[in-house]
Amino acid sequence: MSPEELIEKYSDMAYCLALRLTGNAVEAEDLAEEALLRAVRGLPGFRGDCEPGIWVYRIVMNCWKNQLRSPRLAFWRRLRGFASADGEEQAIDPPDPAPGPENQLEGEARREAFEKALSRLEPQDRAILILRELDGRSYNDIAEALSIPEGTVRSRLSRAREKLRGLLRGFLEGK
Amino acid sequence: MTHEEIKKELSAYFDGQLGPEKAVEISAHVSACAECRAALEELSALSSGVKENLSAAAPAAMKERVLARARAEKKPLFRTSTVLAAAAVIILALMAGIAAKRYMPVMFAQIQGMINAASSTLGASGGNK
Repeated sequence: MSPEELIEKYSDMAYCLALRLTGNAVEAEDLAEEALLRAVRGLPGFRGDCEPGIWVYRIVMNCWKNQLRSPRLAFWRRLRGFASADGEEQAIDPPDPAPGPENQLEGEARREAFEKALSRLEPQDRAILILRELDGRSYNDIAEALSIPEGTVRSRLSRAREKLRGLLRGFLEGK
Repeated sequence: MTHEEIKKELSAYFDGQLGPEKAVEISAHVSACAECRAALEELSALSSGVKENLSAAAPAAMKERVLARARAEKKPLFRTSTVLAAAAVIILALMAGIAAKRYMPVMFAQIQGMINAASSTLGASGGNK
């Protein structure tokens, strides 16, 4: 696989994973860029003992763990944590149904609600959910990418979905 | 399995990640249990909602930056092969010099004389300027 093919095939999911782990577009871009560059550098030594996507996601996770240790980012994260600590378990209410051109606003509110609900999950649970729902990965693949047992993937995904169902009930009923 | 045990397995059942025996057992239960059917419908709605609202495409500029950085790292000032070739030429020249001094002293002395004469000529012409 050439670097160009790797970037073409995995950069969207690497970025999406980074975005959902960090919850911030700027940090996500830095994280995904660093991880993809590491993957490109490591490509000649990649032995192919797992699917390349799993290998790339593992690099994203490792880079993210390294970022977490950065004192500068830890400060901002703590600050954000204080700001968003209120109403942790409260369900997120959908906006009043709006006809016509205001549908777009409703769509944005929906997106915001999903993002808010996701941010209330543990970062590892977010990664599991994203890899399952957006990349259709099997539990075995996710376990490999996150270096955790398959049983943990199964139980954490179930718990994460349960929590999201509770938080987003108002949105899911309308579906 | 009891109703409570099945409820815990509904997420894996929804994903098709259970063994065939468990899947058949849960299927049978779901067809008779309204609560589990409703939970499966919610899982399906949640799955669509996540796909619809949480996907994101990588910025094109980021992809280009990664490739540009990778290409820049691939182009060192001198390629390894060039450096190795230059080192081999220098080593061969040194070995040839040593061999000439040892086995062809007359010729070596003549060559050395020619080099000395040339350098003194160059030195003299440089001094006239």
